[in-house]
Amino acid sequence: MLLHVILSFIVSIFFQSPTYETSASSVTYSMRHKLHSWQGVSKDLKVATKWNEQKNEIEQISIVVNVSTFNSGLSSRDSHMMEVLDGLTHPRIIFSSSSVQYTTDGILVKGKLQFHGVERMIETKVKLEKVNRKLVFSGSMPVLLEDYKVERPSLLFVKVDNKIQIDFQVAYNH
Amino acid sequence: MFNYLNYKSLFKGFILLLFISCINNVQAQTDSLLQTLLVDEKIDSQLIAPKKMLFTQELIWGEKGILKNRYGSNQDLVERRKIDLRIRRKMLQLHQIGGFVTLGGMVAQGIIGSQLYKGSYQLKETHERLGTAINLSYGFTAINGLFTPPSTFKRDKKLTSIRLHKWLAIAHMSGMIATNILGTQIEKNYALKPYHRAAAYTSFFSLAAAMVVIKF
Repeated sequence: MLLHVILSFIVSIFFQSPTYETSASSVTYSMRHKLHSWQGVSKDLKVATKWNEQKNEIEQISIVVNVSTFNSGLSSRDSHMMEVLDGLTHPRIIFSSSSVQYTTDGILVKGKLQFHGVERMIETKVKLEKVNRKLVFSGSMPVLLEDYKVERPSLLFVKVDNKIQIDFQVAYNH
Repeated sequence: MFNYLNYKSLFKGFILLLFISCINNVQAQTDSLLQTLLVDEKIDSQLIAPKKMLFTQELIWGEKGILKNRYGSNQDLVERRKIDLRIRRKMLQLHQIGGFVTLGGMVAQGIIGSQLYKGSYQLKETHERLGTAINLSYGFTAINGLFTPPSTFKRDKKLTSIRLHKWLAIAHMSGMIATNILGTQIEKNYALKPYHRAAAYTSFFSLAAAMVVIKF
């Protein structure tokens, strides 16, 4: 126990937790309609990370993105998204991890995703890359709109696909 | 001997302090990790009190509009805007449906109109009645597009599908007005028939194009 405490202290002196890098982080959604598909990007992520300083690994992570920060390159579409997602009642999309497991195959992250006021457990594989002295965690996961009680918007009486793809990238300076 | 004891108790105290600080640190981090991100933020005024709107929207939702400066006072502003966004969504859904009904009516009118041109004069009354129905559905569609509560974002600088949709709306609205005026004048001046038809076709094609260019 004593050894562990001393070791923790020494590590905390010499190890500085990587710091979150806003400019290289983003969340992108991809939506599809029979006639076309599009993407919306938010670079305005709020991230809180708890590091295991001995292993230099993430132990816990929370991410918050405001619905209004997504930009699809078309104002009217982003306005519709605010209406569809009831962005004033549920302004935030929140992910909070419950477990982060480093495996040889990547990092398995489990946690709660709160979207449109509905909370669901999700899990996703995350890839870790070291790029220019940065630690970049990236991944992709499908989300079903109806799982989160989102009424799918329609165009020409055809609804958008229920499945949207979420791609994320969270970077840290190391 | 005294020095040795003093040093030993000092060392123990130091270790205890270290231990407590490490435990506290970990506990605090776990509890507050998400909470640090959930601090109350001021809502961006653009989201709840849009400044830019069409002149038709100004008539209702603007500073001097019928609803008396809907977004002027801060009291219950978020709640009011939530209601408005729901109204906007419903109106735009009706706008879409109305557009389809009108276009369908125009197709039928095109068929009847061409028969009338070929001499089937018994269709004249049907042509007129259908014309009234098209005018009504067109008017309903226009109201649900022009008088919606203003959108949340207006940041596009370049040519977008929605801008094209609005330009085409000017074309089909002009076409509709011209078609109606020329239609009432045909009985007095038979030579206006081709212009009436041209105006009707302009309305039809620009309405169809406006529907095609719009993206969700």
